[in-house]
Amino acid sequence: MRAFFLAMVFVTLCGPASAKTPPLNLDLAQDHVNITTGFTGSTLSVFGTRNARGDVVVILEGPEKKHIVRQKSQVLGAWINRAWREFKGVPSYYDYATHVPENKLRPFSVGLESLKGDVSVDARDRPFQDALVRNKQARGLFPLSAGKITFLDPAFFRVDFHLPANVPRGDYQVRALLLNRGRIAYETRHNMSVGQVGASAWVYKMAHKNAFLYGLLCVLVAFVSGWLSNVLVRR
Amino acid sequence: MQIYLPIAEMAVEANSIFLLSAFVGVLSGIFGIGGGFLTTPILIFTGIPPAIAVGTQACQLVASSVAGSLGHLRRGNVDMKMGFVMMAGGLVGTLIGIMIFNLLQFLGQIDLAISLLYIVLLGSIGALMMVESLTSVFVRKRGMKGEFNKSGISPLIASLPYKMRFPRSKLFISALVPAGIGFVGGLLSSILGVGGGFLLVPAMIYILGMPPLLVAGTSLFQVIFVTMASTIMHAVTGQTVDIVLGLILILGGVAGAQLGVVFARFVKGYFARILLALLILAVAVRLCMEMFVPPHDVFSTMVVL
Repeated sequence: MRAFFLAMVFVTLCGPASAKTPPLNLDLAQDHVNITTGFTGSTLSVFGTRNARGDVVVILEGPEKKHIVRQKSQVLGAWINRAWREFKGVPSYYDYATHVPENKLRPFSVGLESLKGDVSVDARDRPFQDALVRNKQARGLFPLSAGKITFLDPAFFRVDFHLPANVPRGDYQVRALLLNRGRIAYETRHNMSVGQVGASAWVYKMAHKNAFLYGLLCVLVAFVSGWLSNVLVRR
Repeated sequence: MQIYLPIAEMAVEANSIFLLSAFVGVLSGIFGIGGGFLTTPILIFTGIPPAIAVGTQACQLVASSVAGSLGHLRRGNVDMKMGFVMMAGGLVGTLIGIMIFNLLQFLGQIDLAISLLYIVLLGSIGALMMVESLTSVFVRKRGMKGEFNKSGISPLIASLPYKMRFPRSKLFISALVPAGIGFVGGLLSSILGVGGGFLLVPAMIYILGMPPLLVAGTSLFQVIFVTMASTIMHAVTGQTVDIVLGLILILGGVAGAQLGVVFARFVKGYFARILLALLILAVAVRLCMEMFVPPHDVFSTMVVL
């Protein structure tokens, strides 16, 4: 009887989470990162709860874009862009945080190695794949290594993503993965966006949607400035 | 003070950019040269993408050329007819220049093209200035050594069709010549982000044989319209004109130019010109070095929009 009772307690405590409490949950301190005139970067704080066993990985991905990697070689002594490769569907921004070692992440298409793309391609493409990650790291758009997850208690964690001043605008996604026994036990997502607000946004929109008017406006501003500077000096 | 540039999508140190453009503005006030050919390469050195540097600088040049030309207009030192003919060529040149620019960007060779053109340009201007100022130091002036050599129009030019009369310059010459000069000016202006004055002025004096008094004002007149067209075309075809950056450059440029005009009387002729020639050559050398020195990373990555 006692064994049965203990077994029931054991099953209840260690069994799969009930329908009411998801194994992993996450929320963001802000759903929108505003780029204003004095923007020098921003910190995005992610909070989450873990209600089941497993390791947590949190990933922040920017919109996917086509990237071109060019290689310089010497022509008559001068270094000139010659060979190039195109990479489709590369996130324009990527960052991730976890508390497990990098090699555990490899099977799950997460982390720096996964950004390099398929290993099975032509060996001549390898340097371009490595360069893609390296160049993006140099610009602060890819991480140098996994970030830190802070567990305030075993069920509650926090991640701070530091976005640089040149963070690309667009729709972002925060993903949290629960890894257990060599597979993804659970995954949850949360959307986020990065965009200009205020005057910057107005300028950007006009430059892209009404380019001709924008050009005229720039010319007008320049013309008037030049005129004024001359007139003011006369006085 | 960091300012976020909406089109370049990066933050820059506004004070440094202002000082740069003010410094070049002072030089232009003292020496009468546009300054576009110094500002653009230095903007590129500071990390601003070449396309944005060229497009935005075109906007700044509108301001500085308007400021510079008003004085000439007031004194009537402009041959309007000549200016319009040159402008016609200039607009076509600008259009073709923008097309070449966009093609080079697509091919990923814009850096190379701009570097090469600037090296040739700055190298020759710097060298010529150096030679001219050094010879004026060591050679005693016999009479008006600096006077322009008007030996008459060459037979080749005289044989060209579409001759027109230009009363103010007292010239009867084929319209193709000023239009051609304007065309090359527009081409260079849109690709390099320069005003073109450094090319137009000697061309107008030596090839057209215009009276020197009218040259400065007329070339500025042509530069205004070419840079206006260049700004609009860069904005429309490439979205590479950043008005925030442009404003910083304009403010610095006009402030510097006014300051430069004041300084002009204190500046000793040959010494200052030698310094300027050295500065121009230094920029050319730097560009050259960047081409031949192994790059920090042989690979570069670009996002395709």
